[in-house]
Amino acid sequence: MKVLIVDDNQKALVIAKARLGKEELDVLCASSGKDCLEMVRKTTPDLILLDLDMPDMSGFEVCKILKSDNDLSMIPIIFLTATDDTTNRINGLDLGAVDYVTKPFDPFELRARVRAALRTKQLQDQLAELNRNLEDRVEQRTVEINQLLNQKDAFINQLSHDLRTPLTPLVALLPMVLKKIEDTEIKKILDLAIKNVGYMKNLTEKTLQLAQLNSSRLQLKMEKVDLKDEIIDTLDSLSSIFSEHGVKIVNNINSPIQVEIDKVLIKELVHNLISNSVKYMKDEGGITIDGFQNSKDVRISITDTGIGMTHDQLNHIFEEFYKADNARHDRSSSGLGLSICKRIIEKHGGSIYAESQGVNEGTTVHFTIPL
Amino acid sequence: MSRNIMIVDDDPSIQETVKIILDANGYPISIAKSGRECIDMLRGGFRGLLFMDVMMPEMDGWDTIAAIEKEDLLEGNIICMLTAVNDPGPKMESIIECVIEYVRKPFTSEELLETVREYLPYVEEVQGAT
Repeated sequence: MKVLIVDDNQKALVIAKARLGKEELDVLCASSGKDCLEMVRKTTPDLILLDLDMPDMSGFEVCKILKSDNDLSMIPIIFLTATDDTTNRINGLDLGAVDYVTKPFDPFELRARVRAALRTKQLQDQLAELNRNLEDRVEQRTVEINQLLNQKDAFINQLSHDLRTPLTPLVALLPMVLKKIEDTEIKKILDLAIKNVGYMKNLTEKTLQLAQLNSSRLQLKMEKVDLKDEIIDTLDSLSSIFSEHGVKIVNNINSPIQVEIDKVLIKELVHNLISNSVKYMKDEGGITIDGFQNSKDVRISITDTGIGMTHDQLNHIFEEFYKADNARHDRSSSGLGLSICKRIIEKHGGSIYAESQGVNEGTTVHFTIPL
Repeated sequence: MSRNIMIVDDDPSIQETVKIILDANGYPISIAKSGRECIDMLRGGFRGLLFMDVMMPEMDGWDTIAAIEKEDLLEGNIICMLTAVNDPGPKMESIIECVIEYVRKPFTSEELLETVREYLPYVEEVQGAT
């Protein structure tokens, strides 16, 4: 390792050099601040022993210049002071020196302090090297991850095309055939086929939507809206289902709730949650919608008088493809609706959770949106 | 003035499906198996309602529209995109303005017919204006 000794006193230079000779170090000498700066730029030493008291340019000035240079600031400096002056020592350490040695130096002390400073420098260099390697690796991994994400998006697009295209003739043509058939037995068979095609269509749409929501590339179309109006809109769009099932709606949200959201996605979420409530409800039930707002977020709660849930079901309902046992063969359910709701809320930085006192005790789903 | 409809799609099942539905409802239809064929038919004087698939080999739906615009063959036509992909964004924003509607696959016969009923009268209007 290279050590640079800077002292205007030629004799002191020689002594210091001689004393460090035992340490198997490459010892360089400079006799002024100007010399020192030149040599540092040329040779980049691992340690500088810098005399404080020099004509022209003091050790403090040299130190200030070195510490303000990004390439040189990491080189440790040990000040050499002629006097045991506390103020000078404090100033030196405050300027960024790692240590000081008082002249005339004890040879053992000088060597010990140099060794200590060099050990620290070596560890510092190793750390910097590790850090550089780590940064390189992170950069490399980021490139790899981005490539994989691109591949995943391309795969989803291709899959989307390949699944939707062959479904088209089935979805479009089977109902046309059904209309032309008189035979009730064949009608029944075709009906079964159409129902399952519908299920496959729903499953395909939901799976692809979930994949899209899971993509880190998805950009929400955020806009400022009144959540109260959006909920009323969604309730209006479901009014025929409510009257069909005799569901009574109580909307307790009376005042405006200003939020910044992706309107289409949040309306879909509310639509999903409320149609779920209707689906798992005995006729003549009720749904209550409440809104709470504090300084940080808004919470919407949808409470139904439906079939409720067990503790175990509550733990799983937001998982992909989860269906409660009694809905396992329900062809109108994809098992993805609530997972999609969860992703929509997470993309908005909010949370969603469900509560139920048990079977036949109704369910409440809460979701929050940060303000 | 004409009430022509063209389906531009490389998939024979889609061509056939659209043809069956429109035939059954009394709408004549022309089939283009690629963007290239569509442009040839427009050069030959075809004007009307175009159902354009997005994902096609060689020239996709967006490339085809860009070529139609470049050759000044856009006038007198109305374009509906048939999309099956999650993100059917065009390569150039200006191309979006040439598209009046998106029909997502899989579509029902009713969805297709509704689109035809809604935009076919508009084709006549567009052609009347030129």
